[in-house]
Amino acid sequence: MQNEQAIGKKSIFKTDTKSLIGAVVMGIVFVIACQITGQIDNMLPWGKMGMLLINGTVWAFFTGILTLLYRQPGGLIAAEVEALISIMYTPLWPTFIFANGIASIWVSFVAVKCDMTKWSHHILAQGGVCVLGNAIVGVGLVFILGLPVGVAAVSSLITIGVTWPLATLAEKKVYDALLKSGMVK
Amino acid sequence: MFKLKELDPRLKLTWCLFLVLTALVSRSMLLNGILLGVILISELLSEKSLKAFKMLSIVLLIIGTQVLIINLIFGREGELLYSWGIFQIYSGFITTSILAFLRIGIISFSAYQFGVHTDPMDMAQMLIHWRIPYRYAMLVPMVARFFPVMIGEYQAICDSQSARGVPNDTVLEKIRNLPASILPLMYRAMRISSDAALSVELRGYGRHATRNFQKKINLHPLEGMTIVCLMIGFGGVLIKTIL
Amino acid sequence: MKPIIQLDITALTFPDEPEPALKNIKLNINEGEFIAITGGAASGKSLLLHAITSAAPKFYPCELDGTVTVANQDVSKIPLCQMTDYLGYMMQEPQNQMVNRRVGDELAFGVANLNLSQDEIEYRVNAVMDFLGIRAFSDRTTDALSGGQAQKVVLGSILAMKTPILLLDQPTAELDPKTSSELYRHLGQLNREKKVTTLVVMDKCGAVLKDAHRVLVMEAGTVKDFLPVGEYQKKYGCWKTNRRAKPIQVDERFDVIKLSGASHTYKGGIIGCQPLNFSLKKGDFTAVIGQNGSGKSTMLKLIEGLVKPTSGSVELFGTLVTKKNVGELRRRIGFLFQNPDDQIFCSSVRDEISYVLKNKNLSAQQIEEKIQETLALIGLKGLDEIHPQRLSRGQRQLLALGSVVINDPELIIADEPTSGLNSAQSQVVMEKLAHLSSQGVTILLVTHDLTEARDFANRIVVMHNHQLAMEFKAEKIDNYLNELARLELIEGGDF
Repeated sequence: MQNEQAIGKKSIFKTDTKSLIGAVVMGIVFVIACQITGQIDNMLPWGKMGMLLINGTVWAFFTGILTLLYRQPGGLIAAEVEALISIMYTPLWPTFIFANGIASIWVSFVAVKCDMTKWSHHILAQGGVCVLGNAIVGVGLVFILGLPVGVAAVSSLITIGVTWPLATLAEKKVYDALLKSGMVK
Repeated sequence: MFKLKELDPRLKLTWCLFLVLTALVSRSMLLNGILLGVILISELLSEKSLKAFKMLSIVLLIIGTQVLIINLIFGREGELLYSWGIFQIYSGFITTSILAFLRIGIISFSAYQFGVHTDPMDMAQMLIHWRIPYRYAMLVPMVARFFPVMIGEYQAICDSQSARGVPNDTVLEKIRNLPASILPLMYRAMRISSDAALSVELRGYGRHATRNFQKKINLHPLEGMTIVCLMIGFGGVLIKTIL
Repeated sequence: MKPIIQLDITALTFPDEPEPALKNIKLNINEGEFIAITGGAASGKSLLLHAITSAAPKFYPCELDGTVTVANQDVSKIPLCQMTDYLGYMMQEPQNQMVNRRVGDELAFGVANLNLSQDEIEYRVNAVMDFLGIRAFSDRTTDALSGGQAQKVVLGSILAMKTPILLLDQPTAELDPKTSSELYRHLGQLNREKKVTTLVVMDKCGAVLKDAHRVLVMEAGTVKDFLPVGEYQKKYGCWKTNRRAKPIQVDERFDVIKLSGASHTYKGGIIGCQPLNFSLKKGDFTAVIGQNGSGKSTMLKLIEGLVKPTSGSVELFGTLVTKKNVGELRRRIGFLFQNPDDQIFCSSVRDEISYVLKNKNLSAQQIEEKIQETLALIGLKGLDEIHPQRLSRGQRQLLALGSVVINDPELIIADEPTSGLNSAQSQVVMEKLAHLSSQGVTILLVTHDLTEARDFANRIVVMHNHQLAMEFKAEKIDNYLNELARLELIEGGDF
């Protein structure tokens, strides 16, 4: 119970039971959201070519917002829940373990330095998430799926270009809405 | 006959990691083919069917086809077989695609096999054996518990929004109305997790540094030896690949 | 008798709130007492339990001026996870409180946290299963349990810890009458035989008073009355709903809903409902009652077009429902669900209520007029910019009703809209529905609450074993009490 209260306003860590279980349940919401958007992407021409742009946006948004809500280790737990459950629908899951983890840690560092009230804070947080995450997934495209390096690089760059602004927009809007709802203190 | 469910989770995890890492390291089609075969045979021996792999097989088939097409169009390994303007086909696309197909099969089936045939409580105990505090280790059974609950919540939200007339027929409508299904799910998740956290705290969660279990995991000496053999085996594959 | 719980609270205040949520509370609860707690919306009933468990302020950050002692221990000095030595706490929604996949693991969860030996865990779990009669489903998964079974499992997990005090917050709010009385029977038995001090926040008047010794009435965050049950009943009586004031005008010529032999079987051969022949005339207010699992929800899903009839047909407004026209037909219907949180997603009351107007060709002024008119109707005027999640559960249900009403539906389908609400909140929701009914809106209400059905509906339809068992005029309900008792919808010929 020494961990009951959140440790300081600017701390990376929050280890109370509410945050841990919240991260688990939200991690499952993360999985469901990725599933839905993956299906939507597959109906679109770029999805049929293997580029999951809406799914990528939702992935980046959830990685960011859950880390902001639950800090660490909650952010990592939620991110890894998504990575591990993705075993059920993608062979790229080993890269997700690293991509999700590193992206979540990046958001924590940004949240420590910034108070997340400005657009620039969210742009910075999502920039790291999208670049780091997609770079790692790009490595997976080459080593797991055996795609040519050029194809993997172009796919990752396009995904970063599209998901960065969209995920930033979503993260800022939803973070503000959650603060307004009073469900997040 | 052996049952995968009854094996110690540490052995199953080592087996899974051995398969995944070997598939990633090795470029031998023969070895990858054998490993995929072993996964399928072990599943057959344990469960008498491959039903558990049905859905995943369909997903892998789709991904495999995408990989094949991309390698066909963009692959530049091997000899030039056909050329028409900028469109060129090289002979290497077949081996690259087959290897990728075997690799994604091993990576997906082995992890799926571990997940399906390992009790979440056993996984929690395995983590506790590795000195992870039980407050964290017990989150594994909680994932297994809340996964169907949240799927049910999502279904209820979809039914509710659909009955309410939120359009969801075209792709554009699905994208535009994503918040209508995701945001209520997030709010529900917050309420559910808050209730669950209070409930477990008031049932003594985190009171002691350790907790007891009704059923305990136990590593049999034979299982321990198998773990060592798998580690040595992987070392061999690694050395052979490097050399 | 010596006091086991002592409260002396000057004020309990949440951050950013000008007024204390609890104030001037001084009371003692004796060992072995059974206390029922009642009061209006936001009167502080649940918060009082949180103060006793010390969840407020430890789990819900707030400022507490005063002391709460349990078994002569100041709870502020006891960590939340050590409160298991003194009390067990159970909430409204059982599915939120279970954290294990297997029923057996859930029952053992609390005792395993206490680090007891494996034999002791086994012994206690077995004893609890026998007491609650749940041995049959000890190997089942927790997500496959019905509401009543799940509530018993949660209670079992708490009982296995053998705490001397039990705190229960509206434990039967989502259960049908039969399951509710079964749960209260167990609680009464525990109180009489094991002398377990029990505090229950009651949802609706009735079953709990049979076993209670005293009733605590809360109002505006403080204790209004603390009386023995007899005196409470004399002073307050049981909660009486105001019956609908205006008669219902039914147009017998026109069927708004018509099910002709419509049935539905789910995947795996699970029967949702047997062939149903049912019609709802224009302007009617019909209540559908039945136990959990009797087929009410499937019947609604058939009407809503969420499932296809396996046999027979469904007509809405005289038109056969097909995949093509279901969207258009739904626009003429308003759906009010059991859980308002399944539909609320906007970040202000105004946005939520006006969401359905987005695709209508209305001017900004017309939309504003409609919003204000609806807010006034549901009693949320002035809360336009508040985030819906800041509202109470009752207010969120009213908001859901508002977002239905604003679309001027010809038919409202309300699926247990008062489930989880207390009597006062339920009354408000039902009065709004009665008001709409008096304006000619056709209403189909699904409920567990026979009092609601009698007082507000024109006709009552009973579902049992996936089929329509009987139907009668609501005012003639007294003639059917024996039959309703036989179907276990009421106990002892009364409700």
